[in-house]
Amino acid sequence: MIYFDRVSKHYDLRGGGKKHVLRNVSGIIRPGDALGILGRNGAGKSTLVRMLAGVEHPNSGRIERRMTVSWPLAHGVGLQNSMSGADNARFIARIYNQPIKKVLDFVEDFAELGPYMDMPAKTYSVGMMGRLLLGLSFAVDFDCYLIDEVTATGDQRFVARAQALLAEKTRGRSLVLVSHVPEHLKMYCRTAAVLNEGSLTFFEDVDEAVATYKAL
Amino acid sequence: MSAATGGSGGLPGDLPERRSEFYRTLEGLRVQGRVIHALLLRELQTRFGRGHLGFLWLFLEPLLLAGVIGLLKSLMQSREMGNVPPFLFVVVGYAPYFAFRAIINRATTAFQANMTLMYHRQVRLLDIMLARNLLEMGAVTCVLVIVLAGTAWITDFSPYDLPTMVFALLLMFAFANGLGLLVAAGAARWEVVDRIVHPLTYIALPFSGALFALHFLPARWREILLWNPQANIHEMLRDGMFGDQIPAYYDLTYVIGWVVIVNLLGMAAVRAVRAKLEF
Repeated sequence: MIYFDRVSKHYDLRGGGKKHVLRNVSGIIRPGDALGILGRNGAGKSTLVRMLAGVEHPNSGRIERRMTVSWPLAHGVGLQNSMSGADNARFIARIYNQPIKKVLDFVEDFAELGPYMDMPAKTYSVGMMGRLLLGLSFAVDFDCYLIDEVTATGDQRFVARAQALLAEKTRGRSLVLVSHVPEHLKMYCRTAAVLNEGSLTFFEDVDEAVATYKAL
Repeated sequence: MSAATGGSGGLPGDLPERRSEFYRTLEGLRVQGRVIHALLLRELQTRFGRGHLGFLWLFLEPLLLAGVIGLLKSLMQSREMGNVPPFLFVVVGYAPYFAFRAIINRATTAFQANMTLMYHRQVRLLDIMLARNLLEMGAVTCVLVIVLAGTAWITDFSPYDLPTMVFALLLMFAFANGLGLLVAAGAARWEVVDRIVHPLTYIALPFSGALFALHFLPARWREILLWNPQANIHEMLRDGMFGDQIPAYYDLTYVIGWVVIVNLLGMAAVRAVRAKLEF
């Protein structure tokens, strides 16, 4: 369960002034939830995910994590571009206390990078990077997965595989997926929320959230 | 999904229990150990590549630099240093200084270069710094061991008091580590720090006492230089190496005081800067 209570976050702008990204946002993510968060570019979706992950600190309010939560799965972060996919896998296995072989095998099977597994990650296409990231996080087995758009970039085959694995992996676990693409949300999530101008509104029904988001 | 909206104070009743404070501290230490180990291996890889020669460079770089300066010095042969081989004198002074400067200079980019790792909750800024610094220290320690073992084998010249030397080396590393933490935190907060630190490390060389013994200075200059904890540490190192052959001047309590203060301040600064990091 992740519990967040009256969380606020702002950034200081150059030349004075503040940009308020989140104002008094509260909520609970329980085991088994598959929550999608919709928001326009720059609405603060990634910031929210980073704070749920405990990576970025809120200016006020509290966030409690009482389950294992993945790192925010977003493009170009959490991995090291100068290192190969395999070396990144070893690093992840070490810091998350997993058997290296298990992580390597899983990633090789899931990400299907072939010889690229031993190439520096900076040579990867966006889709390959997404596959590597998801593969790594699935290899670790978290209670809750935080996904920031990475599933959006795959081709048909990858989307199908990711969908199958997410459905299997997140049974009894949780998923928080942020995106600005409603269709994407419908594929993975059972409930949804819309983040707009610093406030987060929850909907029991994804279609309702999508309609609200489109009307913004 | 239960849609809690703003304003509900306190924790909900059905939240899972937290583990005891003691258990979490232990677990925290285990995690930190794992993370530093992983970071060390990664640092080796990203800096020197996967080739085996790349790994060698870690030692060759300081060894070559100290070696060249040492050779130049021994060609010039001037000081009244008795039986002290000039080459050894320079290596013992310069190799630790090399590590010191590398730790401080590299600290300015430590956080910027590793922001992507901060996406993993368990990776802390302190771990990143410790891993980098341990690597620098390990490299220079290896260089010293190679040089000392080599000269002991060839010329029969061995350290006068090894424990003092090792202790001085540890103090040097701890001092550099603390300063490095301060520099890293400062650089993350203010861009100027990065610009100031590099020239400063060059200007500081003559005042560090790395390349000459304070004994050969006029007493007044010596007193001034001894305000610098680093000069004290270099004196202590030479004391351990050459013993009575060159009189040494240092105040151990003064150095330890500095080391403790600088490290505590450094850790506090790194902690303070963490909450302000923007991604």
